[in-house]
Amino acid sequence: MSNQLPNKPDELHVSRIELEAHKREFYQRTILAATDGKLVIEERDAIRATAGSSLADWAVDSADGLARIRDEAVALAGSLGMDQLGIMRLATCIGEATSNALKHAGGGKASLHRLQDSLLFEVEDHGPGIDTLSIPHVALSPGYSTAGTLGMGYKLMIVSASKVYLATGPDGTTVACEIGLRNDERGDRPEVI
Amino acid sequence: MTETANIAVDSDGDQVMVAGRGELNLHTASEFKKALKSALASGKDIQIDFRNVRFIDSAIMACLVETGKALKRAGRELCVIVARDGQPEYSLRIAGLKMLMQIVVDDGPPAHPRKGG
Repeated sequence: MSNQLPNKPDELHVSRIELEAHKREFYQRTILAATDGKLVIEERDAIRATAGSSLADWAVDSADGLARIRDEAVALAGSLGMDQLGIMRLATCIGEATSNALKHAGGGKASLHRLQDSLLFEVEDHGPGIDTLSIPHVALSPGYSTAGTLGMGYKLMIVSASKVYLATGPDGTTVACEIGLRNDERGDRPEVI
Repeated sequence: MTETANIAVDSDGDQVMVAGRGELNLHTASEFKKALKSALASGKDIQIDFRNVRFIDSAIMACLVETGKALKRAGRELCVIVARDGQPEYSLRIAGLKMLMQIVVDDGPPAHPRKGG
């Protein structure tokens, strides 16, 4: 970004766009660094591009259906060779992501994707989105005891997944949790209250 | 003993037992919270049995945190029993809630999140 002051309306407009892009990048990098590279703030299209085609899709539309989505997704993960720790991590992420969509947006759609050595579980809704100012609190404050239900859910996903991709705005929220097929206990570092 | 769909509350000597079964999540959290509230009102220590619970989510964890804090302030104890290698044990372990409650891991078979797997 140039240090020179803009003197025409067009230049001022471009400068504002650059400033906003800069702020957004600063925000994304801060969240990423604060979560050890785990919480990736993205655009919805970028998450879709990472996910690619799906192995299975579900409608998230009722409380009774959440266990069925989880059961089917973990059964599929098991058939693809995911180890037991991965199954625990995946089940936890699915529970939090689908519950959030139902609670905060009245529902949405979920899908499971195969990446190279991992699976990605994605939930997309068209609710009001997460207040972006609450994300630093979720990412930066230690422990679970003051996080509230949304914060606690995101902390569980961040600890469980190798990466959590999040796109949120007034058009809705997409969250995708990536979990390796082979997992190591060392990743399960508990948060301290 | 009081029993609802997934939660039973019973009292024995110095403690109240709250036993869960099946799925405990956002949609059963109010029921769970109600059971914990009645257990808190007893003035006794609380033991929660999650051995037959196959899944808990953050809404249930929030209830545990709230109850653990209330008991700690009152000088009373919260103990949670979970099956080894079940999802509740995993969630409680990664949340590091040991400062607020005693977590006892039972070696019996867990109520597993992978159905038929």
